[in-house]
Amino acid sequence: MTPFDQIAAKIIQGQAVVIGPLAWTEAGKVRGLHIVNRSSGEVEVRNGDPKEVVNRLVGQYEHLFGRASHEVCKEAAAPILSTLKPEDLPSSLAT
Amino acid sequence: MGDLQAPDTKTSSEYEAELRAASEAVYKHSLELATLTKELEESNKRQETLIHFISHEVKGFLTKDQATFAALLEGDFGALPDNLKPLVTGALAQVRTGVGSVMNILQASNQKTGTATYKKEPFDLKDLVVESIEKARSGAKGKKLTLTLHTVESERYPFMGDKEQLAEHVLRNLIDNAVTYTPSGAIDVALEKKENTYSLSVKDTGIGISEEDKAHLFTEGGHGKESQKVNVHSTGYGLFIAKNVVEAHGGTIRAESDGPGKGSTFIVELPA
Repeated sequence: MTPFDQIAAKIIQGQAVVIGPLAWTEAGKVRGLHIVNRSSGEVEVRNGDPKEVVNRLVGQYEHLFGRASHEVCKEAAAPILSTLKPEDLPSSLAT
Repeated sequence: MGDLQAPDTKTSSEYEAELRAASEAVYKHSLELATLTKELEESNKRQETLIHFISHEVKGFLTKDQATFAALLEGDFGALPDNLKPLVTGALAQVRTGVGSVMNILQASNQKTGTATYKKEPFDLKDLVVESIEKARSGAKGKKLTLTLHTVESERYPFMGDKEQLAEHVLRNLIDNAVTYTPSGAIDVALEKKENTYSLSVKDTGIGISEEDKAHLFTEGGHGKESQKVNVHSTGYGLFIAKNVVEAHGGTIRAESDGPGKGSTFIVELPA
């Protein structure tokens, strides 16, 4: 799993704690994101710029659920973001 | 006739904005709930660890006291004066009850954290039932209760499992409960083989169980309302532990009663 796969997986899992299975349904609509195994929480960022795919995932939740969901995304991804160089951070998750 | 008012007309973008606001509000509530749930889980975990630690400590002290009282009664420190014997005998009995209660709390804690272990050894279920009945006989006799085993004398009941835990936490628990909660009358223990199942029942003519109490009888701390009046020392863990032990052996446990004052029957079914 790449760091971007892990970020996406953490975000979906974080959202699932709040909104349940809907988090996976919404993630499934994000272009460039492939759900490998929902029960094990495995996803793959495919095609295009992985940072943009993560931005789209964050935007998907924020569009529906507002600013609070954006904060949940940042909090969920935080442990992995801390391992990335600043230039590798997806803009939606940069502080 | 009043004036007719034109209905509110909203644009689709207004509806969309309302819908989004509602979604955001629901999300915020769900987030609060998720945060509280997490805090509660962490708090429960800390509490569980604390209970486990305290129980271990208390068990240590009680076990030492138990050994001291037993040694005094055995005469290890010389003969006890006659007037002290009843006092030490009573103290030993109370400490044993205390050890039993603490052991129950520890056992329940282990079951909840998934750290309870079970042995697998062959034994005869009937022998275990007979032993348990004999241990409870003096208590039953003291209350003038009849305690009878109904089974086929010639039949064997080979079983594979944790003999000690089934004896201590299931059989002793059910039979002792029957003795404790039966003011007068009879206790009938029956063991029979039904196809692929061993069925054990403990039937009493005691205080019975209300529908309300039945719902949480096998849950942690699941005291019956009337039971606490009869047995103030009940920890509320006995049947919870019994259920876990039975289920760990692939069995089921249930209680039947026609209501308060009408006696109870506890039925354990184990795979034969």
